[in-house]
Amino acid sequence: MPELLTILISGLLMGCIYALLAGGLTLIWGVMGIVNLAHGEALMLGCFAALYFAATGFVPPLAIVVFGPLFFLFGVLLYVTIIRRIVNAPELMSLLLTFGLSIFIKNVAVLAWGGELRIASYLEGSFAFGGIYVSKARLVAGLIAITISLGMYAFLRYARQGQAIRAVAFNRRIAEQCGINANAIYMIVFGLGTALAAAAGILAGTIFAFTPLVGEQFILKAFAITVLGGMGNFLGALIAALLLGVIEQSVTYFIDAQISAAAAFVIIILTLLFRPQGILGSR
Amino acid sequence: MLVDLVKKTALAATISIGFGSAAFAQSGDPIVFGGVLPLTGWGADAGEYNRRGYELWEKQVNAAGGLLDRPVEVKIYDDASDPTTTARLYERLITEDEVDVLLAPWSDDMTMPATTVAEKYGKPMVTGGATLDAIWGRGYQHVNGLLPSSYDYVGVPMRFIADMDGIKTVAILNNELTYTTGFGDAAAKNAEELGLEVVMHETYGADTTDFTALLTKARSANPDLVVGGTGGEDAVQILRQAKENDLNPKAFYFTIAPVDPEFVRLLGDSAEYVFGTTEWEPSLTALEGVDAFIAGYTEEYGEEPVEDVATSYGLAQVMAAAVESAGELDDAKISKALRTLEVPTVFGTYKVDPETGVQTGKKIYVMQIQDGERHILAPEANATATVRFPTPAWGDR
Repeated sequence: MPELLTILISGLLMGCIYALLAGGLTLIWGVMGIVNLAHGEALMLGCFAALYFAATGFVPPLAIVVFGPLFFLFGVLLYVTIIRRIVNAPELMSLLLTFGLSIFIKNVAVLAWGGELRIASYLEGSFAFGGIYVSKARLVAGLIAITISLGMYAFLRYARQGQAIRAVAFNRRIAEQCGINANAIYMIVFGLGTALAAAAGILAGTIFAFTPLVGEQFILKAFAITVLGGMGNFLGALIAALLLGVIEQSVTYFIDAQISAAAAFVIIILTLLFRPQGILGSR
Repeated sequence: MLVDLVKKTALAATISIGFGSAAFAQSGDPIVFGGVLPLTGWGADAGEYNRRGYELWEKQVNAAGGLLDRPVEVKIYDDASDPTTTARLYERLITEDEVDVLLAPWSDDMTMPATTVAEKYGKPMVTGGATLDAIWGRGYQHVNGLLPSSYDYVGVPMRFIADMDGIKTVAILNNELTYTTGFGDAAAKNAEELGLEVVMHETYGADTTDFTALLTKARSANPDLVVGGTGGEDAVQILRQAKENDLNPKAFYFTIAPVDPEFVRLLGDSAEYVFGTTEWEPSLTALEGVDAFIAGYTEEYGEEPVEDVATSYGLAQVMAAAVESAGELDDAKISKALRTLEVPTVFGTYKVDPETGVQTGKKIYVMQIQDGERHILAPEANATATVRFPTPAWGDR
């Protein structure tokens, strides 16, 4: 029983980090209609931000406070210079462009930092009670991640800007008729999405060792979550992420670790077959 | 490191292209040694070390007057850690570039297809970073091993550890890659022969970063020995998370990873007490020519060479010795020499079974991380430290 609780808690905490990453992806997808294949690279840059923050002697998760706004600006910059050109283009265009962007960022990172393994480690060991083990670094990361995700959800639901974002996602033309500047909203959304992925990276970098290719390990999971949660559905992504975290751990524990690696694929296929609108989707 | 690598690879490619066509017209043309390595992708670290070994050998042999009175030239292609590409590039080396001598690829995954290509063209090959038993189980006549098989690679340290007090059960975790699966299977076979009970044997995906569930399962099984059939990154993640999950066997043994200096750098104190297999250490100073090798490498790269560098350097020495013994660039004669010669190299002695090509002359060393250094524990003649056992629980360190 303590083993089951250990893997359940560990899966939920991992799910919180997935949720942060997938939240950004689903936001960009839902509002702008852009499938951002470079999303994993924002996570990778976040990992390196945590590393540099740790090197200066600060506690790595705090990097979110400093680097969060910087990554938001980075996202805005990407939107203004590149992404803006493909907002209304066919989806293939956004796939091609963001795929290229992904390769570009990865390779620049390899050239700048080298391909070796790194970790922004600061908290080691775990809390143990009654045979249940919870990694300290993972607990802190998971709690920060879920706080940011819930804050983001509240922002989208209740804040005026958040409502404007949802309005543009629902129908751009009508939103513009009501005086909302859709272009400004897109810029904000891409900035937010990038910052969310980077925050996920900052947290993941304190738990796992990473290389500049770490984005590839996470992006597929983010896609599975986005599909399962319903494309563009932020709350759906949150629930789907927690589910994926728990499913991965359970499959490894009860069935087979190799099959667990395929969990994300299986989720995408089953969702598209039986509930293409996702668990919370209404289409 | 990678920046340098990219620049140098680009430079090397330019040089090969520049001189390649002109070289044929001259007498005293270089003898071209061609190989394929993973210079990018998951095998990039080892691939880079192997490349350095080949190129240092090239430099030192040319400085010493070359081979058969001709200079040597090393030509390396990058397979991006993709076995299909490895096979294609060896075809190209043999049929288009018509290189004189083949050098080895790195890792079992790439060696399996590469040896098939070499055998098809009757081109002699000595495999380098490869230990999978299946490589020599196919009756190939032109393929020989530099490293002992996986069975011994894992078996020598397992026998050493099994001799310690209270080692009765073992948990085996291995990566799904071909070579690490080979290590996992070899560990299971050795455990059976040693009378150890295998309480868990799991294979995980190559991209796995989160080992919590597997390690929780391992903790329930409460093994005396944990064997990791790992390649590098996975060993680091497993050991870090073993600490988090309070997995406390009497000994941890990992394949490959502990010999990489990165292992200690990333894990710090957590790397202490970990057992590994090493096939070469700079402390093995009795090996022939090793001083000049270490001095040359240190001068070029500003650090001590690691096992992978010595492997490729020694491999090139073996190929050169076979060419010298054949007296000409005749593949059949070189192949025959490779089955019968005994060659002392900076990496150790090369001698294979004349029937199968399986390595029999090379020594394997049991290694343990102690105070941040790799120390040889066995055989005793080469030991630089005595064993630290049992591994204390994480909470007591």
